[in-house]
Amino acid sequence: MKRNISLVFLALIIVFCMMVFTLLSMGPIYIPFEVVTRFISGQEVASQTYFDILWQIRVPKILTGILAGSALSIAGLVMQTYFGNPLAGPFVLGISSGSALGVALWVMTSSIFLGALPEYFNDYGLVASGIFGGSIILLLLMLTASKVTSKVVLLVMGLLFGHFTSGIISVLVAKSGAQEIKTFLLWGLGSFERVSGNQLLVFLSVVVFAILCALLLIKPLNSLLLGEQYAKSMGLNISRFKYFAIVITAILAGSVTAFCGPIIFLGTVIPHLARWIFKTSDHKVLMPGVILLGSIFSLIAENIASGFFSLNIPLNAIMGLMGVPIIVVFMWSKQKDLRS
Amino acid sequence: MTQVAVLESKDLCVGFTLPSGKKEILKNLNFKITPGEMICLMGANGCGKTTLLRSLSALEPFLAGDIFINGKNISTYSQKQLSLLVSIVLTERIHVPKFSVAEVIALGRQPHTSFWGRITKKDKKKLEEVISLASLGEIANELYDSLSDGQKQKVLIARALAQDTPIIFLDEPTTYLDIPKKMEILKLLKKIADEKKVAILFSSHDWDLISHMAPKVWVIDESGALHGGIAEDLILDGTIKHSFNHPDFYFDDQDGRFKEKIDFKKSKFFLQGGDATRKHWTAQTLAKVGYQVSKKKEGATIIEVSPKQWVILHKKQRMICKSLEMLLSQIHHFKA
Repeated sequence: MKRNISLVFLALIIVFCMMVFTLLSMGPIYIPFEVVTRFISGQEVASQTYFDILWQIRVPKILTGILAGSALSIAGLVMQTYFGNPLAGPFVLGISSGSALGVALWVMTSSIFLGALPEYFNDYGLVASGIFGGSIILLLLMLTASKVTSKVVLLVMGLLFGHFTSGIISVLVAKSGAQEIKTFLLWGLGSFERVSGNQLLVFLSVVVFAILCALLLIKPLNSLLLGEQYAKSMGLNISRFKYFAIVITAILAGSVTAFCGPIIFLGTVIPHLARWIFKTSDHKVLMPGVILLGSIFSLIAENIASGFFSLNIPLNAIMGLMGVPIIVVFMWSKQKDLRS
Repeated sequence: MTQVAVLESKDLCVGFTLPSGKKEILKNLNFKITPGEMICLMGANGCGKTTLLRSLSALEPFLAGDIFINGKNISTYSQKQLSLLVSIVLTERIHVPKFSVAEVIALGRQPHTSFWGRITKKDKKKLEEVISLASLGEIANELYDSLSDGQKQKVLIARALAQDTPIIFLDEPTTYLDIPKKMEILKLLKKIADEKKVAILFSSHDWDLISHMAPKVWVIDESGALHGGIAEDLILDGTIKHSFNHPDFYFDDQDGRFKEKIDFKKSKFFLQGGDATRKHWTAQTLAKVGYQVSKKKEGATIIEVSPKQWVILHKKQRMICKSLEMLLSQIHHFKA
């Protein structure tokens, strides 16, 4: 059993490396394998153009994809276990919409003060507003979950919260200038390509910090597999856990939404793939598992969009087309679990 | 030989706190439970069994009074300390996808494990002991979700046992199960109380089984008072009779069972011959449709009970019946 899990991890790491390699090499401009190999091993790359493309475009894009994939998958995993709901995830339950509203408010209003503030402040403000918007929805959901036990009602509530925030966003968009609308619409399609330089540093530090914090949740999450009452009887301080989980999940989902747009379905799909591939619900395995699988999933999507296949389709279109069939298959096989 | 109580209550009052105020369900509860005691909590639906169990296990706050565990007030314990003293088995069914029986039971070790929940050699030994006590060795590697209700219940009991606490509370552990499985669960609880000296308090509605298998019973009557004792004592002093009042049923002191009140019809039957068991069930069949069995031959219709058949002697006729069902239809026929 243990050996099987290690083997699966090994196989996934190989797939992960392949994805990274193809994304470095392929794209609008093809970079020969030997150049990529030299680049990875830290040797000098003869062509300055190749080096710039690799270092300034493709590495940030890959890093962003890895961070976004890991962050959303962990957020999804924490939410699914906490709510005991197999369909929970940052997008499905409206956390991403909440973040989107935060970001929209920031984009539309910051232009008023922006002249007076240094540029890095803008990046932090963007992340902070994304996190803030997401945590408000999450707080509302947890309040709902403490009053209603039905899994379906919770999902519907999440959808409704999502639609409500989208409504506010539409009002904001309707009242903005053409440039802001364009920025916002492009952002809504989702992309790993817009984060670079300082922004990437902010994104990286925030996500890595939140993932490290999420690892602290492994033991409590395992006890929550039996439900809140049993977790409590095994010594878990539920209210403290709840606030910790809200903050971490909102940081993970909010920062990704702020920088990459509302990436859809990934957070719901990956935990299921992980449980299916690793054949366990143990979070000691699932936590590293979803980090790896989430990264691979976003790199595959990026390969379709701009790498190996270079189809030039918006990221969220690919996420939807890849994610929805997996969710449908899952729901089909698990109808029983969703009934209660 | 007075043992120190592991759990004690003083003027305990449990209930709900509603926006409109406090709703008391049970009050002035004073009781003691000692190590190794196994007590079944009984009472009509909605009498407050679950509320009491949840308050005792600190899942819900209680309204007034005190609860002492090992002599210390329950409010002085942290959640973590309490998890080393009390473990629970709830009545709700749970879904745990992709988790093996052994993994579910191992969760019980959480209060004892380190920050990351690593299972040490000591934990492993405890888990093996628990699995063998609950006879779950054969299915330890199967998925929890694939088990039958009875097996799931045993796994959850084993999980509570793995928590290694001096007290275990169980809320209706025998519901949903067929009779042999119910008995199996009760036998397991008895074994845990005897061998591990764990104090066990569980609620149940299965009076017939409880009166035969549970060493001690607590009954909550209609007024919300708690009566404790040996099942037979509670039958003899009328507690059971008075706690489950219902206009259509009565409690048969002889049998120790609840029975339907029947308006007996005029005609009586006399059972002749046969063994006691066959006569007993014949009498029960007749009683169900309102006919009484008479102790005297005079004025009664005679039924000869023999090992293979029943013969009704009615107005010089002999009606032979191969089953009690046939017997009933014959009686209906000539009474009509």
